[in-house]
Amino acid sequence: MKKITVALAGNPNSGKTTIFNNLTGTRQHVGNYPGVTVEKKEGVCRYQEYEIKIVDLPGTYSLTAYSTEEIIARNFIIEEKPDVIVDILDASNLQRNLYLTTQFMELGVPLVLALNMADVAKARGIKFDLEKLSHFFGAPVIPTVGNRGKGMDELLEAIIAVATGKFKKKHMPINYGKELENEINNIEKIISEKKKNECRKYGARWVAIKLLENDEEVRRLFNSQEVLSEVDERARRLEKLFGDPPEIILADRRYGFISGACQEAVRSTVESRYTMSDRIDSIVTNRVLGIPIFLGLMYLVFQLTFTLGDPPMGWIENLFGWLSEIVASWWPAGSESALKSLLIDGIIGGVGGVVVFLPNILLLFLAIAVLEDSGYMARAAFIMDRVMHKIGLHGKSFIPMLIGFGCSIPAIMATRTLENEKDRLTTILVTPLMSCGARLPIYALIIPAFFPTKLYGPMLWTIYVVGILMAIIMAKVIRSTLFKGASTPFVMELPPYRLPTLRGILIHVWERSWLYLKKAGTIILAISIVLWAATNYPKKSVYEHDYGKMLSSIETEYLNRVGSLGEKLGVTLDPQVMAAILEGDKDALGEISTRKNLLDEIVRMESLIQEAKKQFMTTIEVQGIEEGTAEYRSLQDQLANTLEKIKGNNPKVYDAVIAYLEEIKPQYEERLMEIENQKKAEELAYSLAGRIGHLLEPILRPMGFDWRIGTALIGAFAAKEVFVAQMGIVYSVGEADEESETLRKRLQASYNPLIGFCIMLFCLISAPCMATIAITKRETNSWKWAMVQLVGLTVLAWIITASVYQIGSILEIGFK
Amino acid sequence: MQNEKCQIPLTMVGEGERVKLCGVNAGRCLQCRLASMGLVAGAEIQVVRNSFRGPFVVKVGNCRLILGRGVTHKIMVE
Repeated sequence: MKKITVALAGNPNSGKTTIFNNLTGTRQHVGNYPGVTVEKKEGVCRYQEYEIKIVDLPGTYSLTAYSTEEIIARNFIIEEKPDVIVDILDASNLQRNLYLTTQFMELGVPLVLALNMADVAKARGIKFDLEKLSHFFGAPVIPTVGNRGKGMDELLEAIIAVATGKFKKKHMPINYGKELENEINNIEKIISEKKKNECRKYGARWVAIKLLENDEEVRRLFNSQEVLSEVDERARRLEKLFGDPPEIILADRRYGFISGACQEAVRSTVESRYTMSDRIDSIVTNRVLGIPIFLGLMYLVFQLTFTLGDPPMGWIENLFGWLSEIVASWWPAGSESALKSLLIDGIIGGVGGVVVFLPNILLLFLAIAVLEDSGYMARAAFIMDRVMHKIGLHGKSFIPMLIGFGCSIPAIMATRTLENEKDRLTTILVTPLMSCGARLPIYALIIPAFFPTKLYGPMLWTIYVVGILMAIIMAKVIRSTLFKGASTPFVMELPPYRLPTLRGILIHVWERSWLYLKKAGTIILAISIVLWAATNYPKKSVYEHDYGKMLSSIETEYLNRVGSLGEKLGVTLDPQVMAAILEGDKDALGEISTRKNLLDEIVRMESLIQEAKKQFMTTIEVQGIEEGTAEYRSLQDQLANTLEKIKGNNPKVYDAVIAYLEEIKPQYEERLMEIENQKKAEELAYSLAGRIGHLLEPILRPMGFDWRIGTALIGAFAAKEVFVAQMGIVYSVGEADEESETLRKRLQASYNPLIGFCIMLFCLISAPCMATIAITKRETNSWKWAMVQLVGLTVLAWIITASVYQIGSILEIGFK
Repeated sequence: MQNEKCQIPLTMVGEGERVKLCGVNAGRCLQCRLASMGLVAGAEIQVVRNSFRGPFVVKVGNCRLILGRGVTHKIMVE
């Protein structure tokens, strides 16, 4: 198999990605160009006896050194020397697209031109003379229709023809006119002597042109003062002669060449007319309707993402729950194996907590891909630009920030649509300030614990607004300090509306989701294990209380009560056997021969009562009946009737069973849980996380926090919602969720509303969860920005929360 | 390139009007960027949207571009 390397180049919106997808299908690999955030896509295509490696270069309008994308595209072509460059041209916009082509011609690289969207151009009444075009630009010209996959075989044939030298091109460099050509020739001569190697690599003519264009990269390569001052002298002379710097004259001449070629080879029968795109645009970018339409669409995207995403999230949760059970079954019940805990609590819990968001991410990216591929995203940028301009960002930054209300991870991934590096970094850094969904459980726990019912809504609203304001302020601050300098001028193409192709969208969604999953499998896995170890180790060997003794005394008391219950009914049995029978152990019942009838009656009645109660509970749950409603009361009456009927047969046994079910058993279980939690709390305080919490106390004090909150905050770094569960453990109320009344009571006893508000404030602003940090690292391609985000936001949170607490304390706001 | 006719910034051009670009008063960087997108001297520009606040939409050939207000101040037309 012979190998050919092909680079795909072209303007943004020329349909490059569609052709790339057509050629490579799913055999793609996405990475980053080293050191920059620009995506590098590669794929392989087999055709005849050739294995063709295709690299999708970033979309560019030109090959100057003014933007990262252009430098990357240029360097790839110069350094990697692909066998063929396929330049994708939007046929309905040919003149501008050919500008890039002229620069490939200057480089003298083997070229194939794909006249894409030839059908649209044809419908607009544009006719092409392919032969003539091919003659002017020294390359085969292949008409293609990317979104219908037309012309792909012909394109591949042409690639092979050029790569194997079957296509004989007549090299005809563009003539820039006498004066310019003279200077180019002179510079060529000078540099050919001084820098032979470089000239061979890049081509002397190209280097000469770039030096005249004042190209920074090339100037750095030829940093001989002698050459540069010579070039500058000649450039000045040209500027004086033409009244414009050489690069502008060169651009003019290139367009001159293009329009000359197009006059001969392109026939347009229809003048530009009012197209469908224009008609849609007149509505969606309308001064009055634009913003409502945009907000409506965004609302729709949100609703879809979070409502459609909900059921599959449940499935994934169940899947991980099931997985935990399977793993747990490898050990005998009650085993305290460290490996078991690592697998279940550390790995499955940690990774599961991140993978759970996959449905949301899939749906969100699906929606974004549709908006992007259809061309609406560019309109959204236009509509929001006026607002975003005020905080030093472009309209496009609005979309990731909006997504941030759902989850920071897809939001940060969505910043890929921002071309400008500074805008992108600023947006990435402030996006976690948009209060994400995982923080909601924290607010849901705290607000009802400290504030009256009428303040629930306003409190929640305040927190969200604080987040938005912080994001705006921080964006402004970052823009005027870290990324100083005027924002790059906003120039963007509004692509015509297109029907997105299913294949393009699926590939798009798949790529991003796969990146997300890969992250969950690597870095998040590692951090989960570290956090698990921190909350579990070192293990406590000597406890403050003798929990074994406490447990056995509770056990004894329970057995005593069960025993006396039996005696009341006239059964004298070993209390342990009696307890086993009451707990529903059939074998225990089978071994008894005395008073069999009575025992059978006890068991039967117990199951009847439990059945009736269970039915009541499920009816309420399934039909969603709320306490206090008429329906609820009627169901309660119904239950009471049923129980009365059961009682009628044998009131004495009934009373005993009820006493067991409603008093003895729950009290016993509650006390067991209490001891268990007390033990867990002691272990946590002794663990690394607990100790760090204690250590952090001096830093936490100014915000009104104690070590317990500190420990919970460490857990919150794994995932924000873990804060609630962790608070449950430190306050020894066991597995707590945001609805836990016990936990709320404990919080009320320990803190005041001011601290409650400070907790929410700190959770909102401080370091986002580890998954966000990991994604920031990935997306910015450096730990530096991830750390800036982590430390910067945490410091900011400390300053704000401490100020609020201190001022609040002085003014005695929010004290009991 | 600065002749008498060429003194109107694009900002002043109303919606639907067609003008001819005659110069860009900007640094080399922006000039080249605009040139690569088809905004060179002699190009025919049609203003599609000018809200007198916020960005512009112009049509050059068959292609629509969004231009920030800052950019439109620097584009001179006749």
